[in-house]
Amino acid sequence: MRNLLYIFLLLLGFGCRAPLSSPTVQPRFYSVSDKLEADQAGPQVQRMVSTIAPYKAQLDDKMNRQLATVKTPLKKGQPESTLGNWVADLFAQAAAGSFPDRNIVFATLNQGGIRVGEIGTGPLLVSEIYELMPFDNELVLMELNGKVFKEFISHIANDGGWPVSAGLSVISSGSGLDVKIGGKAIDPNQVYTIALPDYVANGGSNTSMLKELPKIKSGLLIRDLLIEYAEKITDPISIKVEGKRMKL
Amino acid sequence: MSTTTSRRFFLRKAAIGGGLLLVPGLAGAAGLLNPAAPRLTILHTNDWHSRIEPFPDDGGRNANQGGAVRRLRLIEQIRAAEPNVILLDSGDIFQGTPYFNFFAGELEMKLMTQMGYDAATIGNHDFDGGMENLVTQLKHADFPMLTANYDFKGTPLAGKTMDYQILERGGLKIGIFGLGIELDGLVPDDLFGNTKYQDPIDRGNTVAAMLRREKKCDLIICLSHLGYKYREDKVDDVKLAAASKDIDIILGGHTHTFLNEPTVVNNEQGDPVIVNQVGFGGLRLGRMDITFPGNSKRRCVACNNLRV
Repeated sequence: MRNLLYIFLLLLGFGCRAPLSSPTVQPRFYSVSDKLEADQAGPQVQRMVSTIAPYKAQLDDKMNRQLATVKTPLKKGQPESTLGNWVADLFAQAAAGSFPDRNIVFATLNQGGIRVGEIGTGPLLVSEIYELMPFDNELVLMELNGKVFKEFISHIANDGGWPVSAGLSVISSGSGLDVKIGGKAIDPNQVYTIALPDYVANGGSNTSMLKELPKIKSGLLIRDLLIEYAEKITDPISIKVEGKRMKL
Repeated sequence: MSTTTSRRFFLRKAAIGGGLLLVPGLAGAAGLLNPAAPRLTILHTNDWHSRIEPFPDDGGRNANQGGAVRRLRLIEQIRAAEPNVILLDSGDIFQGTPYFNFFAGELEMKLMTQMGYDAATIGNHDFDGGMENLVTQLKHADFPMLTANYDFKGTPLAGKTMDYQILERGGLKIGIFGLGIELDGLVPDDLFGNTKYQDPIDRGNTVAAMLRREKKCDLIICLSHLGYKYREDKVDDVKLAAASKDIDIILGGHTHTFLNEPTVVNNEQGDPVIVNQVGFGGLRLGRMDITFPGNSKRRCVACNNLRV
């Protein structure tokens, strides 16, 4: 501190690179942590606590319900991750359950739609699914021909890889992308049914190739589906990434 | 500001240290050396995403960190120690916890009002409840939403936001304006409706020049939700800074970037612009103490506003 002051006096004295007419900007940041609770709270703080209280009470009833148990942390990452694979598989299960007559080849969510970096171990609460998927996005299906299907997969790969459910395999090599579904190459004349959020289907995350195409609506919110299907999980959740879905 | 003298803002190294360190090191020293030197303390947040309570206690990296009440405690302590404090937010106030899903942003606006925010800009997620909802929630806010590049003509938000706001603190005139990100491909069409996105660099330069020349502001701050830096052509805070002429400080958001100290980017005329961003989720509160020289040879045309 004393040294810095000395340097500053020097700067003032000789005006090296800092002309006297220049305003000086001293930046810093604070971490907002529990250390800030050491001092006694003033009336403003008490007022805020009582402003929050009735909202919090309403939420606590709904949000603190345990759905499952997480055994190893679920972490977000690209091109594949424990959290991404887990969510995409759960979403695929929910989509199959919601459309039992459809043959859905895979389910995906945009990477930016996963809003937590990590779900830690212990009880999985309703509140954590809300934080994972806060958006009111709807499950929709799309029937894509092989050409648009590949275009969409290229977009996912160019974006670093999104969560995709098991069954899809995307391998990047010098000659381009090798895309397989259930071990089979993409047939440009075949129609593939996929499950995705309406946000992506409607052109979000720059998916212009999907925007104008027809959608099959479900009227079901993805978050509510994830809660419903997470509650059916009986074993503690422990996901291993094998790197079979996205090798970019 | 006369055209012949420089308006360089000289950035010092970031103050470090674990404790509160409420008295700013060098800016404080300058103030002591020259009591007439006007000093301003800027506090800022971005992307706090409805994080009203601290992050959940789940063993994750941010477990138990953040929280609106703690932020208020910090702000109160700084206000008690500093004469001229302004508090700003760079958007994405909404979305991220069940508080937004169930109460649509009402509590966020109430708490920011209690914290004494002076202004905020609109982030893409602030559209998530729709434009009518944002209008409804703004009734709980006693601070303006600033955006100079969204044209809301013919939408529910028409007339509900401002391009800029001028604050006067300690004899200084501070011009603040907002810039928002391109909504197409990012926000569902039905949520932003007829909102027209205008080029942020054009609009930013126009508004900043007006604040500098017509309104005689001593300091011009841009609240940006463009994002810190992209590899591709998409406009970001760094590109905006480089193409700017009259902006002194860009307080950014959107990319959730944790900068341990601000980035300095030279503008079109080679003058430094200070760009900062403080992560997301209300985990950090940014602070800049700005000391204006108090000597009589002031370089600004707004000098007669100053207590010299």
